[in-house]
Amino acid sequence: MARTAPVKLVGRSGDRLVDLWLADFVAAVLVLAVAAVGLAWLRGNETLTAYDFGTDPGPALFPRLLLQALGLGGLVLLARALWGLAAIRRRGGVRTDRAAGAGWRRAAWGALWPAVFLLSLAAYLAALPRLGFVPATTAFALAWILVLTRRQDRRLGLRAVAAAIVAALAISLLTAAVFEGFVQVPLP
Amino acid sequence: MTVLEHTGAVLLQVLADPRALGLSLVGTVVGIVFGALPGISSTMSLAVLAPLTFGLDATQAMLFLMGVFNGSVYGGSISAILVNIPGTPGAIVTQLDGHPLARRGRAGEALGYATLASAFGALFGLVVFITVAPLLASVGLKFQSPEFTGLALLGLASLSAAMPGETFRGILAGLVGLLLATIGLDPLTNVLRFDFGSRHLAGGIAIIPAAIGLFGLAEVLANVGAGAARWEVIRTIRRVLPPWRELRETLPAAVRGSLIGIVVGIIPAAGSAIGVVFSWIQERRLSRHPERFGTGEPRGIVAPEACNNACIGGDLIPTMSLGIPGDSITAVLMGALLVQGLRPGPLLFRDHPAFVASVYVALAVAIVFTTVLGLLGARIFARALTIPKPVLLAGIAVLCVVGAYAVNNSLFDVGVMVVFGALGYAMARGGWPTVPLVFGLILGPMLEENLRRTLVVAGGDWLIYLRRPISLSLLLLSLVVALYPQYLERRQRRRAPDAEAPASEVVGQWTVRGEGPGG
Repeated sequence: MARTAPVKLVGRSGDRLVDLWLADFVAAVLVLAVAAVGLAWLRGNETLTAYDFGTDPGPALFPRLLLQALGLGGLVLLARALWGLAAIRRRGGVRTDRAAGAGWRRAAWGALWPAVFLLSLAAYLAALPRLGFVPATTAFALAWILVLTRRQDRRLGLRAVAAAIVAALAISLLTAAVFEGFVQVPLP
Repeated sequence: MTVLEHTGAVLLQVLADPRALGLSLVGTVVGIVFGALPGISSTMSLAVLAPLTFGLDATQAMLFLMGVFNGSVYGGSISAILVNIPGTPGAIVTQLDGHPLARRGRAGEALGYATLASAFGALFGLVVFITVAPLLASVGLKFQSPEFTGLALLGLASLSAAMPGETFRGILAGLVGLLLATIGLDPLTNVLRFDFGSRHLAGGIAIIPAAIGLFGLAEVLANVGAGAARWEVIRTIRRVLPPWRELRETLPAAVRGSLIGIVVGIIPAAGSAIGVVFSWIQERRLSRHPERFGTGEPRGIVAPEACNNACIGGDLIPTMSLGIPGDSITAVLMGALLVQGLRPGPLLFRDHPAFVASVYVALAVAIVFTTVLGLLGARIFARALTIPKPVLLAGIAVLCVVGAYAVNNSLFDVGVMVVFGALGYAMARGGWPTVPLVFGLILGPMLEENLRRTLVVAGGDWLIYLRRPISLSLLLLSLVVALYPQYLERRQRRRAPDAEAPASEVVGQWTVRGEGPGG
């Protein structure tokens, strides 16, 4: 199975640094956002602040400690990202904005198929209660087997399509049999 | 009755029960096939298959899961040897000698070495597990909340240390995991936290759907993004049993590999991928013909294969006796046990000795099945490698959905699985380890509860942690474990700024893929 390397710009630019800068910057923003939302929630929650829990330090203590640590970590990440940016500038020869733009585009293109997959998964979940388990699952599996086989540069002849249909049916019927019969889960 | 007395009884029960044996056999077969398929790690196998056990009682569930566990750890060697791609992270070095040997027309023997070494290592691990775990549990019984706080911290610290070059990100990911664990009802006061008005969030985030997302769906997404590559399988398998004389010569390698595996396994959070790299390098260093390594040297197969299977017993020791997962695989196993209402830890040995016995028996039976299947069914498992990748990916995606649903019969859990899958994929793309998230989810309740209990007893005095010798040493140990790799890394970089250790490089490839250096 092909190993997926992280987003990596290979070229004359300060590739690895551009990479790290982007990853750190995005992560810093996200981590700081989580810390801010969490701390705001703790502050705004009356049950947590109004009640006296006696000797127990209360349910807010632990999350607050975690959020504060996260906030601190987010700041460190941000500092690291800015340091990386400075290092890229120092090296010169790289238009940071262009390199970053290329990085984004590459990341976005690489994530295109996974994003499509997630969307199709959402559609599949929505279709489950309406179409029933076996039809929805067969359709979902069949679509992806065909798409992925096509992307493997295999020609989709009649035989390949027939094989895909058999495989998709096998997947849906087998999971249905195992989970309904064996685990006794009423499937949606 | 002691655990050991129970073990005999459980063993007889299982041997007399065809259904129980069947569960172990099916688990082992599926485990070997999943382990053999490149891209399906042991962690992923266990995560997507764990939901199948929700309808079973604890003993039957263990029989199935231990079959999957041991089978998939062994199965990783099959694709390493026949395809030159490790089936699981634990098999990353098996291919270095396994594949060249197979190319010389000795594919069967290469598989034979792997099978016998795996059996040896797994048995070694089992024996140490049976001997050490109860001792450690009885020590653990004397622990009180300050010590358990320290223990949970140590588990998290060693996890971040086990990720070469990722310590800081690992710690942050662990914090996020701990935070996610606080969502829902606070067990001590019944106050809702971070529910954001959602009835579903009030129930908290279940571990298994999160694990299925992080280890299952994220991997599917990565593969969909990379495009499904095809692989070349060596199909000609002749004799499987290597000549006795050559086999005998590899025995010291098997012993050394097993010892390394057990030690790496016991260290919380350190997975077998680290151990196998270390044991392969060690064998080459000790050999009189180091130049043969990498060209099909049997010891280069035997040592890492003994190591990764010995890791199972090692991993189970901290998991079962202290409640601290030994690696990502046992973290998922713990998640599955929690669904059964069993919380691993010292109390498990006191209150449920029969269950602990069933873990021993389940692993023992799985080892026997794996060995027999490995020796007799090598050709069949080689055929399993020809399953087209698109079918595999579609099938696993469906299994992720149904598995997450099966935990509570709720579509919300499927949503949790999908969100964690997307998160895991994004984190792996950005070079973030995802295993700490699951560790945080599992260790969060233990850490918080004991922290608060300690503070209640001590009247809010934090210094109590420094006054108790065991908790103090656990805290110091956590600090050392978290900081020492950073120090080593810095020193290495200063000495040789461009050189990168091959070991961390190999392990790193898997870390990047979101697996972490687990199984």
